[in-house]
Amino acid sequence: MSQEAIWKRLVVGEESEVLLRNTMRRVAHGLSEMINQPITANMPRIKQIPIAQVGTNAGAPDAEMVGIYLRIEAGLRGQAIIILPLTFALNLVDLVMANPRGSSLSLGMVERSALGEVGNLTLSYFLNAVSTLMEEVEMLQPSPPVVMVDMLGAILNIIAAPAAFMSDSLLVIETIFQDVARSVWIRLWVLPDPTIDWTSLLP
Amino acid sequence: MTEERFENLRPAPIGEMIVSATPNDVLIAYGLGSCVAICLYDPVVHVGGILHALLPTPTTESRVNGRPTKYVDRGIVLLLESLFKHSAKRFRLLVYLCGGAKMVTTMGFEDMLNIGERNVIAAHEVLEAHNLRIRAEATGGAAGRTVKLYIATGKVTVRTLRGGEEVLGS
Repeated sequence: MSQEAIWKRLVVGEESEVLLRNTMRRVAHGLSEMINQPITANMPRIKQIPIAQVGTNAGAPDAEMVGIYLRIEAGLRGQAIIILPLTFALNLVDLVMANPRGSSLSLGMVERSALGEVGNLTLSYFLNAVSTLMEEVEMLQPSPPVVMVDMLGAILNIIAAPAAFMSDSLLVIETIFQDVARSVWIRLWVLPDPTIDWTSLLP
Repeated sequence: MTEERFENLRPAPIGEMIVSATPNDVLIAYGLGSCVAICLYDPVVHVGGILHALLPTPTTESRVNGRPTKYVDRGIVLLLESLFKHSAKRFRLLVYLCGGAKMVTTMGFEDMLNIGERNVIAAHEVLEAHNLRIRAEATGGAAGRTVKLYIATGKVTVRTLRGGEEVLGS
């Protein structure tokens, strides 16, 4: 199956809705097991975001945020970024490392490594679920994660700049994950590789 | 009475430019990463503009119908044209350049390592080709920046999360 065909199944039509809902449920289940807390996923949304609005679509563009960026390097070509406020990132680190809440006060090497692992596992859960549900066995390889702590707009340059070579907007699968206590709140964006002409996929 | 009290923030979104001759306006480019902001200001007629560009120049693969202001080279030309329509003069323009950070330094992401650097180089080349000398710049590094241009005074400030806000020029 071609890249375009795979992405089309993911983002267009009724099958896409069911596929993404089931995929994100599996991701939420994986995250729940990782941090030993129930995590829920909202209904995934397919968004076309103009480049000019990328900086404001996920919050205030100069707010301090944490971004975990990964590429999908085999089978399904794409990229993913997890965006979360610093406070939630610190909470997440405490949960992953089984520390009392409030233990992590800043993001050093160890904390960044823990967040990178969250990114790696989150995308792996996504890819495994997509692979199983689409019966495509190849799509299993996320790149090593890159963890950034900076202004949201600056973080999102990493996906906006390569995409802007080919288009004036981005195609994003957006899902929000959160726990009941709202101590963790994660925005996941999964996007086609910038070289894929996603405009031809849409009706 | 301070200029900040009555400031009217007018954002220049990614890939766009904004020009103003309204004294209360403060033009702002939020969260520059590898993007660059080119700020031009004429201190006599008090008109200024910011271009918030994210790529140096179109490639052969780029779609021809993309917004020209997302590119450094095309955007600077359009910014100049707009300023000239507001009675700005080339020889009076004060020029500031910000951004162009390297947001990712991890091995395996080499292709995206130098977009910021290429943006800065392109800005230098295009500004020089238009006989415009950069008065001050805050470029490179690995941190995001927010840039403000005050139309009333021509003051330019740059803010980073770690370093706070500093005046780049006034």
